[in-house]
Amino acid sequence: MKLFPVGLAALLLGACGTNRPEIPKELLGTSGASACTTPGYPAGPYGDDTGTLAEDRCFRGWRAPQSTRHDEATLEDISLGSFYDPTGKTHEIVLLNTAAVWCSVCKSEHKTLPDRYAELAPRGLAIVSALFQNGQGGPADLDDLTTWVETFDVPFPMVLDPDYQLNDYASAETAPLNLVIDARTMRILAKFIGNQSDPLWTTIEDELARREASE
Amino acid sequence: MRGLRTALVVALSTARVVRAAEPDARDKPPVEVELTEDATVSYAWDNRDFQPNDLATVVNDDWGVWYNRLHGQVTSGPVRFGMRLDNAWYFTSPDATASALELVERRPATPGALPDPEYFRLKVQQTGEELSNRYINWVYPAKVFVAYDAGFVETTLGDDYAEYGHGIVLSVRKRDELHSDDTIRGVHVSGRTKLGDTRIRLKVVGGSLNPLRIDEGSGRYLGIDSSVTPGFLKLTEAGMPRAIGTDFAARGANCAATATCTYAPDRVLAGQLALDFGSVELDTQGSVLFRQAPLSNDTVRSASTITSISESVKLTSSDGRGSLGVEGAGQKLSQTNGLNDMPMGYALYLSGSYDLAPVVLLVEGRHYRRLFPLLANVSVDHAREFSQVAWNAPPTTEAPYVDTEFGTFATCVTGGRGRADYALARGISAFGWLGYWQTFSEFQANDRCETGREFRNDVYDLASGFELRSRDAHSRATVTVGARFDDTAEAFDTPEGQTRVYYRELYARYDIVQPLGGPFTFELQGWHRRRHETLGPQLLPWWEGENVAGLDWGSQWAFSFGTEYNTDLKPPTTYFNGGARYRPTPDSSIGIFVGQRRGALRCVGGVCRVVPGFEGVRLDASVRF
Repeated sequence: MKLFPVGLAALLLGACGTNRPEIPKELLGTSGASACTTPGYPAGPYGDDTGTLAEDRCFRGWRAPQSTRHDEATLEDISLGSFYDPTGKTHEIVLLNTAAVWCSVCKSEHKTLPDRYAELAPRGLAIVSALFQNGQGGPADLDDLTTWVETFDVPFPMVLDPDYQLNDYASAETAPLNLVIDARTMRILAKFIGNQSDPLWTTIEDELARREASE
Repeated sequence: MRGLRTALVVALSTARVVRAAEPDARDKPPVEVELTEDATVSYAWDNRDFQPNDLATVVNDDWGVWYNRLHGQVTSGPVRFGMRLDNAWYFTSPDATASALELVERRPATPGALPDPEYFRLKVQQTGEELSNRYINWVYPAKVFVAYDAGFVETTLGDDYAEYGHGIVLSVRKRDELHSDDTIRGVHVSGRTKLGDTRIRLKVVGGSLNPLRIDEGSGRYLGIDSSVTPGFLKLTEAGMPRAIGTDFAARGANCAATATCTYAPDRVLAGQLALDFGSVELDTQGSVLFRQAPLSNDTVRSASTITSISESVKLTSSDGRGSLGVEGAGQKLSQTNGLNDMPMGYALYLSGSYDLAPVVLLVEGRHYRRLFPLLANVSVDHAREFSQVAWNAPPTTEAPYVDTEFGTFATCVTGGRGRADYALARGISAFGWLGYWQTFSEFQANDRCETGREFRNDVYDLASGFELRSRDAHSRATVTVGARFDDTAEAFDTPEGQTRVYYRELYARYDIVQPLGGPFTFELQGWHRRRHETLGPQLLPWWEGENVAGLDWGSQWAFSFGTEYNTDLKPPTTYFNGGARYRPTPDSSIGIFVGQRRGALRCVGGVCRVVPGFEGVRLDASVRF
């Protein structure tokens, strides 16, 4: 018994330390590759909570999966900025959604998204969904994306996010994420973690109705 | 280090105060002093759950903590004073840069992925924010109370537990199995009297809800700031962990805009009136939960007030062989933002048992419509480990270990379970049960509780088993085999075609204790499951389970060896661990656990918590004076 506090203290003191390493030079600076920028996209600062500006992000995917052949050659660059619509002419609200192959809740949610899209797209709703992980929790790939869009007959833009860039907004394990963004300003109006169908769609419909009433 | 010093100073000064209060038998009333010290030192190395690009699977490795709980209680006549001081000191923890570098190094080649420098910068920022409220040293008064017992009235100022009825309207208590210990910090008054043969009990409680602020498994803490501690909350939240600003998560204008501000304390006013007529007991209970601005936008957390009321009746047969309990409840969520206004929800729960020796029958039923868990107002986004903290615990009518109520199963459900136990001979009994439920909120979100076929799942749960017990009860064995069939009412699409199969499970559980002669006793516990979740990670069923073999050597030593496995697609698949515990006195123990434990959802009676995977060493010491 008497040795326990001594051993404990030795263990604690011996284990103290930091893990901060040197950063290799090749990771400093920028790659020089073309950055994801959409001309005119609102300047930062950006954030990840309600009320802040969503940062522009670039992905590869299909803008119209139902009318596109599903192979690598047809993948196109799709940025969040491409939904930016300062005049609200085409889009009033952008719903940024995430999904993963292992996520049963995401699958349940995607069964209903096409109908919601058909109903609300004419009123100014844009949906873009990012598939970020496969069934094992690894990065989602083209096969995963193909299976997903064919299983759920996805009518809206669907992209791959293998780097999980959207980790800014939510942890992988709490998928799905639904980010309601004002297309005119790219400001985040609301954020929903998990399948929160009722408050999510109430928020979107109320926001669309409010904008229609003010026109 | 400052946290450690503070903890030691407070601990030692507290100990001196307690010692000063020790009884002097000659001229002072007796004073009883109880001091309990629980210390845990653990170090977690790589728990093998790494997934490329997923920072959460990197920052849960290579961290160590000394977690201490010092609990003192002084009792003098009718007065009790108690305090539990918790401190967490992380002697090593992950670094954002190192974690981002690891993600870069272990990154698979992926077409269309970000260039390395941009990827690195992104991951440093994301990891930095993730770590902003994890592995932070804290010392805080987890529980503090003073109670006065005047016989017919007992008053408590400070922390206390409260559970009314069957837990539908309020259940704030300690659950050791889940490492949760929630209280209401405020004023508690309970009184009892007798009118003729009728016993009357009245309980009233008001205050703020006080969950444990540090999650031991993840090192995450719940932080508050001044924007969520108006009025009396300044007092009840004094000394509790605060939101902090970091290089990656700046302090915002208020709690909602601050990533490390993750709890907006809920307030509650509740009461219960119980009338006990002997064979009939009538209870009336209610609670009103007052919310602040929601930190998560789900239906429950965005309600500004939640009012729950219930009436329960308990009948006991005159021969004591039968009992029947019924509780009817209503629940109203009120929204101030005008969004998502919900019709009133309600619940009906029934439980009955009758001893028809040698058969004992037990029946439980529930009919819940829009009955929501009273979820704590935490930020699910920034403190996901606390997402299951709730202030009620409606009965599930399921076996206590069931963890397969998916989605929001219990919000909109009808069904029940019947169980029979048959005593075959002295010390030998067999049992079996059959449960059936219709839930309308499992397959897809359905907060409004619409009861169309497109929402419905039909769930059957059945099991049977036996229990053997020696005459002296030293030797015993319980074995259960069971199955669960969960189908949707309407077929749905999968990559393999249409199906109605939502979930399937076959399982076996056992708990065996066998003396080996002399001071040795052998123990064996296990749960082995064949599972199939159609919408889950894979189309094929998988195996999952655990087995723990233990050897007790007298009352002082205990050794264990555990194995776990999970053939689900996510690695790893096997886990091994060992442990030893020494009890030098009945009130003290030292234990060590070395090895691996899989991450899982652990449920006890419908209250669940996600337990992260662990691989490392853990020392526990407990001393009571």
